[in-house]
Amino acid sequence: MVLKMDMARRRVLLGLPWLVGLALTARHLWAAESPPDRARVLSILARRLFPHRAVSDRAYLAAAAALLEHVEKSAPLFAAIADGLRSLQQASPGDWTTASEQQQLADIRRIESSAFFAAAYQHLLTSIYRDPEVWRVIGYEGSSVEHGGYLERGFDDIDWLPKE
Amino acid sequence: MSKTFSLSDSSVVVVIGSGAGGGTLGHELARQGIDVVCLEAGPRQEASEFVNDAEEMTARLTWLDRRIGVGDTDANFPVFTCKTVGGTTVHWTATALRMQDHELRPQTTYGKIENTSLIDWPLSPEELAPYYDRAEDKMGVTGTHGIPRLPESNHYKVLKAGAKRVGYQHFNTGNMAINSEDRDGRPACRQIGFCMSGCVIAAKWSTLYTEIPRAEDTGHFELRPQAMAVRINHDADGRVAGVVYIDKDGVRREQKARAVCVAGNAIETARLLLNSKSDLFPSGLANRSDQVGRHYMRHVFAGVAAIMPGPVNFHRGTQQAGHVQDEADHRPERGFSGGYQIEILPFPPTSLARLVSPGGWGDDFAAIMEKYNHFASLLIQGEDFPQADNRILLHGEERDAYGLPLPVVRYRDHANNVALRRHGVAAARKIFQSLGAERIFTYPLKSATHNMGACRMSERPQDGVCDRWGRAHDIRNLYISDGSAFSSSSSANPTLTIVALAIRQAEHIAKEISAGRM
Repeated sequence: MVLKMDMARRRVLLGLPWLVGLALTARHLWAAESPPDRARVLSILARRLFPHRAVSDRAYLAAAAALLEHVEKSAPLFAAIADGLRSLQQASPGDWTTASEQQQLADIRRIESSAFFAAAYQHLLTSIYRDPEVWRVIGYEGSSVEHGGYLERGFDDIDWLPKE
Repeated sequence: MSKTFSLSDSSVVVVIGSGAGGGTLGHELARQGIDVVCLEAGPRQEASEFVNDAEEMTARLTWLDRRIGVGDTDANFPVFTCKTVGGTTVHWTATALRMQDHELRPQTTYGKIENTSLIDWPLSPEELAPYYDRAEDKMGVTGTHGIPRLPESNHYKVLKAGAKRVGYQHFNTGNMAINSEDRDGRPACRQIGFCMSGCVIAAKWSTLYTEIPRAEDTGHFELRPQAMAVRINHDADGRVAGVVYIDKDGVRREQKARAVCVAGNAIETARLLLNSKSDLFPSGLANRSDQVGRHYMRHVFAGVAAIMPGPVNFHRGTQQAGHVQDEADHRPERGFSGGYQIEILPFPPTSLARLVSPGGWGDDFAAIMEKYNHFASLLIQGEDFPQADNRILLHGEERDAYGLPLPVVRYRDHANNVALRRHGVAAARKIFQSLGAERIFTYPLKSATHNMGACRMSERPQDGVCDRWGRAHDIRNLYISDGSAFSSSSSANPTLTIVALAIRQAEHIAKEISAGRM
């Protein structure tokens, strides 16, 4: 119920720029949205972009949180992200995060050429592929010096190559 | 042990840069009792502070001050260089190849090639050879001077098996400036897999923990980190007399000098000379022939990565210890002049994600990344010919944090590059296909790590900036001491040649000083 009221309030606020021109800035819009919603939208976006089934929601939420933290420090990025979030949330009749996967993918494809997508893509990619949980799934082993490198841990253990 | 020199001490040689050129030259001069002040724009970070984290180390080591690319290069990040004590020798892969004899005589070997400014080096392969010997010994290059090669990693074994299948004959784990056994007070490589993030155990040669501390031990060398050279001053006779730099506190200072050696990695070397305009040198120092910044070369690069039928784990082990040299010679029947190296080059997940399918996402992209440990990857690195208009320029308006005009890197591919790259990519694909690769990806590498020319050596002053010793044609006590001085790029990774030339230049400068000519 609370969520629904929030949504309704956001709809009104999101519609305002078109009524009052440029008076309402991205920062106002940002203030109108609750942080948990922003993180959820971005985490779903991260999962749709880099869908590793065996990776938990934690990694995607962490990537979203890192992006949001970064956004706070950069005005142009801030505007792009606010704009993109609005675009995604307006795309579906209800809560975008609970829309069908198919719908979400279609919405993402629609904004693929936006500044929001470009910025979010780079940041989310970096976070996801720096996450140790993701590394375990894809087979990257990370820092090795504390284990003495790979000299005795498989640097030459390949076993499927043709003999000659 | 490190000595401190006063700013007004005009008996010192000022070396700008502490990488392969500057770090080596500084040590070689100090060793001979010549006082040196070395200005390095970046901070001093010890190997023990390095971490096995490619992203973090890239942020800590890279020259991130803005540069503008125009043409066939990345517009926002045209070159990849380092801003740290040790320069690119902290980040380098440690591949230490000699230029081949014919590559030192490119004009003679290749003949006239349209739209190039090819010249032969003003020194012969025979003159350079003994300095290559000394450089290899100094750096402990595997496969030279009886130093064993590094062991064969998984990634190299893939290259070897494929190379055999396609009929190549010259392949090995490379000539690497990485200890294969304990040597020179540094340990043997532990196959850590983070060469390019700075070698934590110092098995890889870097001036950071070899040349620089040894130079300091002589009592004739002072390193000034976080000292950005912004201008070289000269006296009324047109001889250089001092270097203006901005220190770590933002204070502008001038160090007097008896001679100045510039080793800032091509872009900064050319930029510094261009920024040192005066009444006597209105278009910049050593630029009377309008040659400073011109003939800028990089290598012709292309990357080919493949998902192999089984696990490779290419992140394990020495990153570039695997070379094929069968395509390095000059065989014009292939449809291009010059040759190329084939070298293994692995990537951490973030880099692989950006390279194999730029902008990619969704199920297919994730499936590619889930094959991370099945990847193998090869670098094609070919000779790049000089072109007068491939050059470093100063931006008309935009300034950096030091108040200097931003450098513009203008680079266009020559038709020869396109043909060479096509051939190289096909060769790498064949290697992978011969082993049943599941998918093969080709990717461009648009930010150059090997920057050469721009202040090149030439017999005649109208063809280049400096002579066979790296001494500026126009100014007797100004030297070019980095890859900027290269007359041609060859297909070899540049560092070994930079070090060999620095050793040779130090001998020359010492002779000039002892003869009372400087």
